[in-house]
Amino acid sequence: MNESRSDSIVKVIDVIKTFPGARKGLIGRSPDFTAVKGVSFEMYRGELLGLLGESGCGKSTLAKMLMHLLLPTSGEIHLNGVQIQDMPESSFRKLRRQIQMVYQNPFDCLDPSMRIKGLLEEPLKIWYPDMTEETRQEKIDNILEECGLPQNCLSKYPKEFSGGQLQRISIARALLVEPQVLIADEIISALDVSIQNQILNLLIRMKERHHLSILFITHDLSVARRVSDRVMVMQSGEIKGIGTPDQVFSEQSDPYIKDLTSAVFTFSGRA
Amino acid sequence: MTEKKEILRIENLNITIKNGSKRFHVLKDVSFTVREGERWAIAGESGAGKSMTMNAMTSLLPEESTEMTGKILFSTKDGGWQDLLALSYKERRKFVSEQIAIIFQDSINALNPNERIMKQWGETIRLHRPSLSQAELENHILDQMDIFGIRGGRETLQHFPDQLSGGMRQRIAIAMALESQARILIADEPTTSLDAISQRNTIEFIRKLLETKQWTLLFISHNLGILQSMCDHIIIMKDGAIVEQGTTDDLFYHPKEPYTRQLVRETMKIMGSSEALV
Repeated sequence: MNESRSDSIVKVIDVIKTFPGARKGLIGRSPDFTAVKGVSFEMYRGELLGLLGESGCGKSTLAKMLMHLLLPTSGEIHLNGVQIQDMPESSFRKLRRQIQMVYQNPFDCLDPSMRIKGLLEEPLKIWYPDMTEETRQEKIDNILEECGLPQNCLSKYPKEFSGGQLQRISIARALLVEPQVLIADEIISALDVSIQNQILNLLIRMKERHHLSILFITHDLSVARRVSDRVMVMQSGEIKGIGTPDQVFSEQSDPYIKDLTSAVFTFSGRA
Repeated sequence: MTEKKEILRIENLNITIKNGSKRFHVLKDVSFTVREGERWAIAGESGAGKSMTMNAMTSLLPEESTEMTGKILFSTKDGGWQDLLALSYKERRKFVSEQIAIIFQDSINALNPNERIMKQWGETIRLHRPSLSQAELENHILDQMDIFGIRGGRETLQHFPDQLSGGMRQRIAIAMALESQARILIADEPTTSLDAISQRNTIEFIRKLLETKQWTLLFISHNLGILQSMCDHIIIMKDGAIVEQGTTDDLFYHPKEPYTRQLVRETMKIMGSSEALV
């Protein structure tokens, strides 16, 4: 972990996140809860790093710390060589564009009272206040095409779309500001299987085209295996393994990873 | 081998949901026949009508806003058939509770959060066997806990649901569902809210139960991998209608309909056996 590669974009060193226990009665407190216990890893440019873990393993807490939405209790987080963990929000704001996030449920993330046009213009207006209307429109047109969305979607409201289409819109919105890192938190788990494949393909295409680093958070081992350049397995706030899917899911891996691997239902058929 | 006895026949089932002046035809000419001891899967993407079919069979749809035509036939002890839809709404509920045990997607939340496990489990048993003494009841529950792998004995029974883990609550909910003397077990996405390891454990557990007891299973899921490991027959649904039905092997290895082929192909991409690593 000491020597870092030159193409490292996110570097996490010994990060711990402890949540204080809830107040119990007048003087009592339930014990503190450590969600992330000394985690260290790096993300490289242009790679899709799968973060695999079950509910409660600390993967979302970790993502929130990378997004500077939660501050770590101790440890360091570097984004593009800059230490961000102690940065006040006002200074981090300048860097925020570099790291964007897409969530599991697009219905909850897009303002239902805004048309898609407004939803896509908003981040551009915030990040590039001097951008001309023309350039803005051109950028939106390009991203729509890249994400496989029709032009006429701009005049519609979120409720007029299916979950898959809306997830494309969320991805388009996140990528409009040209981030270097994208955190995708369970973005396909609410979708039907054929749509899951389309969104995964979109993600891989965008990664290649924009040399994007993606942290792909999932609880689904088959999916993590399929899409990840490298994969990282978390359990109870610790990293149990990191490496290429073949390395991580090999015979020698940790007992938890073995158990997880054997719990996967596979499917065979012919069509 | 002698032909197994038919236990359930759904014939031309149609359901229309009324909402104000709007009407939605949500189930279209659904027909299938289940024999004793068979394990049927109902698969399809969201909105396909899987849960709607189950809700119709278990009489869970509100009477005022639902219009049902067709037949839902259960075999009776005397060798005849009882059509669920020929019964009054009130009679249906009672009849169904004797025929079918149900495990829901959110069984985990099916337990009453304000009552201790002992109290709710006890009440469920009394519903079916009112004559049990308190001691018999407690012994029965402790026996069931053994069978279902619910640890902690009497202490667990004194807990409230939220003091137990998700997997534990799921087991208790299943154990309680199976207190009824039903012949058919319907499981509607019973593992969707569980993590991978509890999911595998729950499935293995249901499978073991099915081997010891001669239940007939109807398993609803969008996860073809689970259905393949669990069921011998499958129904593929789309937009409220059956696309194709047959044995699991036939459908997954020789799908006839384009939609089934697409579903198999997409699922192979996501969780194909090339990814298998056991």
